[in-house]
Amino acid sequence: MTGIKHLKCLSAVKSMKTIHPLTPAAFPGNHCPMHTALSLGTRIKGVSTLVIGTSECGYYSRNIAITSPYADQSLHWTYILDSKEVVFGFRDGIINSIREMDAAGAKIILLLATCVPELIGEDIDSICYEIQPKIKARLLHIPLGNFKCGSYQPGYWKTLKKLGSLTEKASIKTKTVNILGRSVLEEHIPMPEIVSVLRRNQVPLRFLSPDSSLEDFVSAGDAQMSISLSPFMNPLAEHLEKEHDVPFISLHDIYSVKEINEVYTVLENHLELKIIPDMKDLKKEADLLQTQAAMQLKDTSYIMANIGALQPLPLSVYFSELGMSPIMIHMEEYYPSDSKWKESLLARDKNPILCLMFNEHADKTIIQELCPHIVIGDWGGRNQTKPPTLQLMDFYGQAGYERTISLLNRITTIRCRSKETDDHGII
Amino acid sequence: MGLYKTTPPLSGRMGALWCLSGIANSAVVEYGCMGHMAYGRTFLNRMGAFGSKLYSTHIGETEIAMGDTSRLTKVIRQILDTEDVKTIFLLPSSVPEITGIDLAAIAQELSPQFPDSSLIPLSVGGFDLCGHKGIELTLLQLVKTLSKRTAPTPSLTFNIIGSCADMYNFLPDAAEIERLVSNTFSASLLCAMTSGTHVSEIEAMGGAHFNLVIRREGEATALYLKERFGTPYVMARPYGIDGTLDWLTQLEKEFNLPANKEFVQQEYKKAAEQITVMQTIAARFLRAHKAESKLTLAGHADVTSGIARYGRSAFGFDQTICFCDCSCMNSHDNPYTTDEIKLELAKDSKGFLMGNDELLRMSKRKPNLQIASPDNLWHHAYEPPLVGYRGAVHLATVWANEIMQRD
Repeated sequence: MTGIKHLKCLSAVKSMKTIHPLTPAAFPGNHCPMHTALSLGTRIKGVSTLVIGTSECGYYSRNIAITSPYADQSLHWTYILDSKEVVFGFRDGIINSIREMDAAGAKIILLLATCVPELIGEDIDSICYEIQPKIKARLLHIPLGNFKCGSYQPGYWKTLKKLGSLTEKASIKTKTVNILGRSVLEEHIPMPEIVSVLRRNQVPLRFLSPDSSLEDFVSAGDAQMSISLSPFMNPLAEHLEKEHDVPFISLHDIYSVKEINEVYTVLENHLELKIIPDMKDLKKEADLLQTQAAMQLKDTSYIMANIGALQPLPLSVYFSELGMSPIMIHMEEYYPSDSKWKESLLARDKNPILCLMFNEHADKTIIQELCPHIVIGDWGGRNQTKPPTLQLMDFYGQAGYERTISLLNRITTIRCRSKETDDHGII
Repeated sequence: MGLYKTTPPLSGRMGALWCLSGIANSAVVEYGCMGHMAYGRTFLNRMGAFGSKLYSTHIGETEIAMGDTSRLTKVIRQILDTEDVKTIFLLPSSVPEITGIDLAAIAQELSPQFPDSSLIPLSVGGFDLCGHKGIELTLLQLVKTLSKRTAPTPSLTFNIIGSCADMYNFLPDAAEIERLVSNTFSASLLCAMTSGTHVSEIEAMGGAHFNLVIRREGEATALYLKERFGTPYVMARPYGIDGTLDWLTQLEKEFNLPANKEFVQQEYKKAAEQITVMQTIAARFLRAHKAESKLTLAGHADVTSGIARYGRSAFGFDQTICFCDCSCMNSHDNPYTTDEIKLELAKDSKGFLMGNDELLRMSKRKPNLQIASPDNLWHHAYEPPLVGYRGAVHLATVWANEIMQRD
């Protein structure tokens, strides 16, 4: 087996710096945070972007800009550094570019600084500070050096958090609830039941996600509460809580019936609504499945691969509650809340290896040699029956009992099927 | 460089990568942040470039601060252990270029550890190199490094130089050139540099009897091969029916080869027959709609000038206007397509416009009018060519269909 001695276990990890690639060669690797910041920026009505970097950054990312649904309402330009600017800085060039975008009517300009501007240390914040009073457009600098992170995820959360700085102080709180991490336009994925319950109770909802408008971010401070449906949204939710007294509940990272019930109770009390009765049947179904699953899944080992927009550690905590054991977890971002989940896992005597999986083919060999009962998430052996794969990519933006029901149904079916084939010696 | 409102130009590093992407049994390792390669590989696959395995090492803050290049060694070892590859190109990346990582020195240092393999560092890292320069230098470096001294092959063979992934439709165009030359001169293709080729084919290039350079960036390579192996070359891209016939005649004369006249005339006749009605339709339309009698072409300078000649001579466009996509190729007849020019072209709804995917989207024109990169759609090797007899028929069809929409 290719060595995995270079990898650290969860107990030794405090940040992304100690999470290493499983195999050295990225093939092709993940997108950089500029990609996600730009794709988010180009999907928010009224937001303009300026990618600052090399030709690679500006050329390859152009397909995002040209497919923006709001391209006629905003500007998506690039600033490419030349050899002199790489050495002596690009202050003058960037100031002129900002002025030109301002004159062309940009309202908000996201200055997406990629690797080279980050490396050479041009002080874009001070440029913004200096030029801001002289222009109409609002400048937001987002540092996105790819060498500072393991993956694309900071592109999402940094951009969202920065957009939160546009939120205005609200003198009067409204009945609105911010739904963070889902768009009303996403019809291909079921809306969480809690959103439907709030709608039935005629609670005004504000969806903050791609396809929101700038105005939604500006007015988000008047909400009575935020519900976060994505780990990318928690930094924005925390910002709204700290700066605008909008409390939030995080629903994307809880799976157990008990925790979901607790959160719904908090929500019920805060919003002064009846939520629990509407969820009664779902809760009952989830409860029953959870009890059965705990028996079926006991001692099931797993490796967690690419699970998309889900946060791996809280999901692992839930699997541990069901008696499962993680061998290895692919972790692309270490969020502040992960320290809490880490402690929870370690307290259950679970100390998996953490890694980054960037090469499906090479990683597949190691995953197979580690012999997990199940691989959770997308990986190179997705079409194999042994070990079987539990796909979760479609859980993006889902939460609550119904997600837990779906998760438990899938995993118990897969596990039972794999036990049968194991017992009969059939692969 | 500076501010760009539309797609910025390619870098030399990108040119090198695009050039290498079609070489099977090789790997490209970019020592740098992986975002470039994640983008680059998808981009190249979309354009139909499959061949070289494209890897990235990724680098973190610690490696940058400490100048630690051990990731590169590990990646090379992994590739050599797991893939059937003996040639690895080391591609410079922007961050290590700034920190001063010397890929040539690293390759030299690592070579004893991998004695059965070739580690080839590429010298296209500079921030001043444009994409086309990167392609020119990489093509040249490939033959200088890989091609071996060899006797001419017993049967007649030729190389195509310059069929790289940055040229829109590069695979079908190379296939049409191969078809025409093989059938006209009973010659076989030795190496299509660098589309659908193999390291061993580049090694054997010196054995060819003649070289066909299909873009100006390939001329330095052809000159090198001429000097080293005495291989004659012709630099041209055959567009249009008469243009293709002229090109084949030129090859016949330059290389002193007996041509299969029957094949050439048969192909000529077949193509001419197919476009005759379309020519009539075009002539009527362009006479009646003078303002539409304008063919604007934006793309590689060698492509735009060739298609313009065909459009003028065979279809009677009153006006043909060419714009090139690299400031290094800027000329009076083929000025560089700046942002301002692109925006102007997009606004003008009159006439026929052919360009890259972005320009066609900006001007709300159909994707079949595409003749240049960048490309944001998936393409494959079996699409119709733009060069040769078949390319002439294809271009005629595109124009005729455009007329149908406007008439």
